[in-house]
Order: sequence, then C-alpha cells, then structure tokens
Amino acid sequence: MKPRGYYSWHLCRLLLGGVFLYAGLLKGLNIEEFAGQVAAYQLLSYQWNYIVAAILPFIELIVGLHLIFNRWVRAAALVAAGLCSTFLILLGSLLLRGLEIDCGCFGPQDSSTPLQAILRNLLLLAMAHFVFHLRNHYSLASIDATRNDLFYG
Amino acid sequence: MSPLHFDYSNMRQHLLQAVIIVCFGIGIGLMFNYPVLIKAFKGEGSSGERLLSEPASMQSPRPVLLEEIAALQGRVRLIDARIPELYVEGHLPGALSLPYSEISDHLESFMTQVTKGETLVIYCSGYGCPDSFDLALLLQGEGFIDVRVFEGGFPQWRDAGNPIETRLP
Repeated sequence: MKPRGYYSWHLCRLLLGGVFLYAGLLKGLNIEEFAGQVAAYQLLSYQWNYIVAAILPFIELIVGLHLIFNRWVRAAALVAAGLCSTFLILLGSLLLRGLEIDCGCFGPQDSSTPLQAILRNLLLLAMAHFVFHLRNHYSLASIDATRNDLFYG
Repeated sequence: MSPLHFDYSNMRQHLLQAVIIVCFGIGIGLMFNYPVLIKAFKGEGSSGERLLSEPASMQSPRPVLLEEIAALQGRVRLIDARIPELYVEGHLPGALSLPYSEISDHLESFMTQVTKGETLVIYCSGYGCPDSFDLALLLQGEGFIDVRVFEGGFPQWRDAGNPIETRLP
C-alpha cells in the first residue's frame, strides 16, 4: 500500500518541474528580450544582464527536466529552492525601490506585478521544500525499501 | 501510516549534483547563446545601454485594449501624445502630457519624471492618429523597455463613458 501523500508528492514534483520547464522555455526563446527584462531590475551591469539572460533559462530547463523525469530530484529541488529564494530577494528589492515593472518570471509576455510574483515564488518554494524533504518518504525507492524490509529483511 | 523522517544522509551527494546541474546550465546557456553574448560584449551597432532597448524597439509596441486599461491603471504610466490644447480639454485620469508634435520641447523634462523600467501606455486621438505609435517607437529608441499603445485612444475611452480628467499639463 502506498503511503499517504505518495500521489501528492509526485504531483508536486511534476507541477514544480512543469513550472520550471515552462518558465525556462519562455525565457529561452528570446534571450535579447529577456535581457531587457533583467535590465529593468536595474541591478546588474549591461553585460551581466545578458549573461544572466543567457544562463538562467537553461538552468530552469534542466531543473524542470530532472524533476519531471524523477532523476536527481533532491538536487533539482535544492536548485529550484535556491532560484526561488533569489527571485524573492530580487522581487522584494523591486517593492522597496518602488519600481513598477513586469516581473518577467515567465518571459517577456508575463505581466505579473512584483507582489503576485512574490506569492507565486513562495508557493514554489514551499513545493521545492516538500519535494526535497519528503523525497525518500514518498518516492518509489522508499516504498521498495520498505517492502524489501518487510519481506526479505 | 509510517512517521515522517527527513533523510539528510547524502547531503554532500545532493549538493554536488546541484552544483553539476547549475554548471551544466551555465555551460549550455553560454554555448547556446554565444553569438548574442559576443554581440552584447562588443556593444555592436549601438552604445551599451541602447543595445538593451533593441529587442523592444525591433518589435512593434504592444497594443493595449480599452478593457485592459482599467486593469493596468496604477501600474502603468499613461502618456497623452496629443497637442497640449487637447490634453487640457480632457485626458485619461493620471495621464502625462508628451505631445509628439512638440517632442523636442518636452522630452527632457519627461525623462526626469519617468524611469526607463516603467511600463508606458501611449494614446492619442484614436485609430486614425499615428502619434501614439510614433512616440512609442521614439521612446523605445530612448531606452524605455516596456512601451505599449492604446490605439483606441482618447475617443474610445470617452465614448465608453469613462471618467475624464481636465488639468493643465
């Protein structure tokens, strides 16, 4: 029998992976336009805006793929949590500086306000926490281990 | 139901895998976008800050519909591109006057009031009026990143029974 939370854990993993994959794809499709959005945060120098725009979508894509295909899930959740925390700090800085810009979290067409983006990132951070901490509790490996203990241990 | 247990036994392995994921992302990102980065580092075709506005200026300013204006109000800067006389007669609430026909007189003071990261929605006298579009292109060239055009303009706003503000620019 599958433990309680088994399906929620996998759903959470797939959702988190899907969100990161989607965000990475949208940003990665037009790097130059995304660089413009990074520049709107007014935090980095000109070249660094481009470097971040070139790298970030691919990290998100790889994290998304790992989560979806259930490989290196805890490491991917760790990176996802790191990214969400960084985004939260950046969005908080927008609020503090009174900058009214689109967050650009899902590429150039995303017109979420910083506050909406903060709430979304908090949710994603909670999901990453859930996926990371309960990986062994709800994953197939854990169930297999429990079954092996029961029958062969 | 088995009790929850948090397993931290392989943290070094997970951290190493996380570093590999990040490094892999950095590597692929740099390789894949090598031409764009080279162009950016050379500042090709333009000055440093101007290059960042190129993606926005290369595409047409995004159109905004009447229904969207209400939702965007407070989050965007409305810009009236008509002549000052028409602006005084009536304009969208909170709109700034930046007449395209007298742009050289007003641009400098406008740049001190608005930051380039703000979202601008420009309008003029409706669908037959090109000033909003021309002004949007000009502001994109000045480095504004998010410039949109409300093509229905003041007539559509007024005819829909929305509030109108009258004050000197």
